[in-house]
Amino acid sequence: MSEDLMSPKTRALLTIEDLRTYFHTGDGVVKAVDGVDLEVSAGKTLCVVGESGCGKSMMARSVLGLIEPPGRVESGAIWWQPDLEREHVDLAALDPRGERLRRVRGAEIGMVFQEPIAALSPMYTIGAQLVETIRLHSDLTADEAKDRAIAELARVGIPQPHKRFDAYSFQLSGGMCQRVMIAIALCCDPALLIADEPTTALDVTTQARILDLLGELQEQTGMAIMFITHDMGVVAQVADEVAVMYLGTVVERARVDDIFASPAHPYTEALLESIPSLDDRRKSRLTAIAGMVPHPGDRPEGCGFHTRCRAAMPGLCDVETPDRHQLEPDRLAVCHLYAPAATDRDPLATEHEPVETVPPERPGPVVPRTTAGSGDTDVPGPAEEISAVDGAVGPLLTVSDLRVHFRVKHGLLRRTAWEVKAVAGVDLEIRPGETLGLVGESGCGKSTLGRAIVRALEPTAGAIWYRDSGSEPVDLSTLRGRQLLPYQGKIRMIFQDPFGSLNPRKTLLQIIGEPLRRLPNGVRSDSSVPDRVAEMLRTVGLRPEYMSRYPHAFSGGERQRINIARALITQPRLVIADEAVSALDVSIRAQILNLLSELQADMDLTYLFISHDLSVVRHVCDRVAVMHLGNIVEQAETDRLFDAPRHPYTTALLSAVPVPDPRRRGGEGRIRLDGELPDPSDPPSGCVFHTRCPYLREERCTSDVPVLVSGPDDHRVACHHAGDLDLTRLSGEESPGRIATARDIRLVPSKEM
Amino acid sequence: MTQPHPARHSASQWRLVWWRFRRHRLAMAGAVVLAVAYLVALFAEFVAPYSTEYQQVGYGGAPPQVLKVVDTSPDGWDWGLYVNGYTDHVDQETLEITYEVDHEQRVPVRFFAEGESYKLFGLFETDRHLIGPADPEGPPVFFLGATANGYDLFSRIVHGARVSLTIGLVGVAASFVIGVVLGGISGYVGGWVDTVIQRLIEFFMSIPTLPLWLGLAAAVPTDWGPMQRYFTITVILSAIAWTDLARVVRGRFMALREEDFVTATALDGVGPPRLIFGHMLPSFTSHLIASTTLAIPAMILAETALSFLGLGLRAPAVSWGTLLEEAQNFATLQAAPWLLLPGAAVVVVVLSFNFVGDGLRDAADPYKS
Repeated sequence: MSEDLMSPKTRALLTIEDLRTYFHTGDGVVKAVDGVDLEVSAGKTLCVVGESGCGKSMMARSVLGLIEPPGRVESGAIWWQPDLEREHVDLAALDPRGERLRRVRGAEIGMVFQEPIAALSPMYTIGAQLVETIRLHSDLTADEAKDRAIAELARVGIPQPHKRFDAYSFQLSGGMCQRVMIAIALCCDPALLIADEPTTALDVTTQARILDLLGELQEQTGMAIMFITHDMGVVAQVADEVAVMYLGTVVERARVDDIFASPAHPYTEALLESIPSLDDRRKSRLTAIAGMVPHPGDRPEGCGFHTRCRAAMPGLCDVETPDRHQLEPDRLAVCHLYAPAATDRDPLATEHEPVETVPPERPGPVVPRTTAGSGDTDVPGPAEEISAVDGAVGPLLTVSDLRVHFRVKHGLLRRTAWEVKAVAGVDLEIRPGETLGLVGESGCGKSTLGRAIVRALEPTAGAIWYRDSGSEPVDLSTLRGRQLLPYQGKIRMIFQDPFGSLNPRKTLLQIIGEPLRRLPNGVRSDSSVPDRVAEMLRTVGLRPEYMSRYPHAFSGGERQRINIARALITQPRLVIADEAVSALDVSIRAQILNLLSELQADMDLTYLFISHDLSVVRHVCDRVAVMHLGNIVEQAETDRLFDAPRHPYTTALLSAVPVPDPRRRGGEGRIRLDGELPDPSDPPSGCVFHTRCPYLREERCTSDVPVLVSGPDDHRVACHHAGDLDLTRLSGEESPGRIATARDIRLVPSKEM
Repeated sequence: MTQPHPARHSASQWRLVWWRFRRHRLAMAGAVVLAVAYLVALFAEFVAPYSTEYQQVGYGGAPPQVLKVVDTSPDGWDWGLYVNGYTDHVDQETLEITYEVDHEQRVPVRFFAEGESYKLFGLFETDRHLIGPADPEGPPVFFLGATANGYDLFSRIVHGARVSLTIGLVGVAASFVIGVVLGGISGYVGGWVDTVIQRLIEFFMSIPTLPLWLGLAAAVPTDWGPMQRYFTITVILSAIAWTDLARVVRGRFMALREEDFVTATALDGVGPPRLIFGHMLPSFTSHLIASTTLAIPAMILAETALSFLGLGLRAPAVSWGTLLEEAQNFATLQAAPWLLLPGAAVVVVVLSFNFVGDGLRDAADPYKS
């Protein structure tokens, strides 16, 4: 089989054959990598994509011989041939600590990891670490190596490389550290770069620039890249070929255009459908993949994906392991749908129907599907009715000139050395029943703003007016201690980290029931608490029997449901979702987003949705506010903001979002921001965005602070030149429409199967 | 990541800790040894064949006697516990007494033997001992040999365990309470309170321990009994030993204050006292227990060292340290090397504590694997 794929025009640099990496733990054998076949062609980019727990990283680590005990490469071959003159060598057969493999690592294959700051040693300057790598793999003298290192730093776009050579990793931002990591990986001109989620920990603007950099470097050096990611948008931007992994095996391999145009494997298709895209119509229901990735320790019988597959054929998929089917010369899918038997039986009946609708019975936590959100096509739900009359009702929450300053204390006498203005005068209105999105890069103060509203942080100045229907507005920022209790049940928060936000030492009953017992509008009698908790668990799609379990029994997605249950049990009016879905896998994220929108309709909730993910924000929000360095720079209705942004920063953010469509890759319309977010303790004069703004003008930008000015249709923008800038280059592109599937275009399985 | 297991799901923190601890073999062995040691200390009068006052001057420096089960000395086999008696021989020139095992002489030994009468826990009067010579009027048995003054070493080690194993606990408990309270206040309240407590800790940490011990040993009133003296010194020292723990607790509180689940609980309307004692403290009690377990052997060693130097307990009080004091003289040691056996008891107990502490520390946080 692999010979078929090795023969075509491009030469295979790395060929993995039936690689198996197992971990022998006390609880049994965990098959992290379970029969992977792959190849990376010279000069091309292979994207390996899949949810977490699918064995992507373990596969990459196996290639480099970096598997730690109790894991080991059980069987299979990793053929490596950096150039044609040399014999190909099986990396799997080499001693992981041996000289030969050490030469391959670093000199012939470079690697970049997810956490750039953790990957660099804080004890040495970046220059020293770079020089060390260069001297390990070449005969250069110390001075030559230093010149080379500075040249490398310049090549990866680090400004002032001479100065930065002596910097430590903690003095640099995440994006800069990732550039240094790339410089170290590329300093010996490797033939292959393995990049394991290199941009996942970075902001969307930084991610865009790192992706650009990798593309440029690939063009210069002709190296191949194995790019591991879970983000289909990134795949569309960088890949030549794509391998989709599920439970330790590759389920589909194809060229990037084919994957996006017509995914062959149901898993690929489901992955593509569960990502909200920037072109998405708002509030439509996302097609989530049911359940979650099973633990590799208890892999289902037959096809590993059958428990979550919409096209699963009972009696076949849950019994027999599917074969690999060659659909086209460079296309493979591991699925029973392409077996001659299945196509003979009935080419359409088993295939089309289940793809369109979600089967009624789904394993794992079931999302109650009562009303399908309050989308524009559906019958208006309660939320819709309220927003129709909100003009008369007035905002639920009005934040006016809110400031949160952190004092950085210094020295023995704890004197305030300087102040960090995390939130520097924000005005915001949240209307009842709406979802207001709050977006911006990390460090822009959006989480601080959210935490100040729930009063987990003390605001330095300004007011937070809360007004429930019919009652007088109350300024929450003036309330202390017990006075605040009635409002803590009305305004609740959902946290980002599903692991850190639940006390591992309490049962679900204790966690979810706590606010009921504490807050004045809850029930205080202990007898009714379990009933309320059980009901709430059912509402968020968990079984009430789970009440006596501890959080460690649940996966990330389930824990986020628990978090939602805890937030909603007091029947709040306003819920602040602080990056509530950012830590979740795409398929789980879709489930949680659907749940949130259902609950909004059922419980008449108002959301403040804080996120850095613009495609999710576009999907769920009615209005969006864009934050930059403690200020709101633009605020408008979602469609208006995304289609016709008026602030240069919004435009830059939008153009940095990777579009999950390989046809829309490439240069025009892109804006890349220069430099990083300025230091909030020492913000630039005038417009705080002027240091990064591509439209910077002499007059006013550096001297006057722009204010948020209301424009037509309640479109507010804080830019001196918003009126005469042409920022509409991004909008008006054609949308791709529904994703066609391989079965739509009737791919016939090839004979040589 | 561990494989899902139905029983795990509703297992509480302590159950998870126990499951992890059970897998740590050395720690389990240490726990068993400690359990036995404390049982022995508790029932010292019963376990020891003799009291601490029982003295046989004629047997001064007698070597250990090996407990035998099968008697083959006269022709044929005979079952029953016994030890061989001694024949002593006095060197006419040096007046040195040498003992030789006399294989002819049998001293029968039995369980629940009759002996001196004592009051168990000060309540039940009895004269039964776990093991002892079958005939209370017959020759004595010295399983671990006799001291130069003719005391039974085995009995004295058993009785000494009571003092050595328990006297440290008081000091550790006192420093534990001070450490948790002051460290907790420092970490949770922060601000100038934190500054004051931290400077206080730094002051206490700068006091050298050994000179302080020497000074205090001299300052304690001479009319106090040896136990009273030692107890006082221990408590005073533990008032200084809390600093390490206070720093750990402070650090933990500061880290926990930033945790999302603490913020979330505060938003649930939970007030500070319940937040501290109901949510924050339980998340590191297991660590506290582990560090306390590791602090006990330090106290035991301190007792031993000070008594050895003659600063802690003094005769007639019996502890492992005072027993070792007798082994200071090289000539005595050469004649009776078994006098070092109390040191072996110290080593075994301290190692066991360290293994248990290690095991607890590894198992303490079952949520990070």
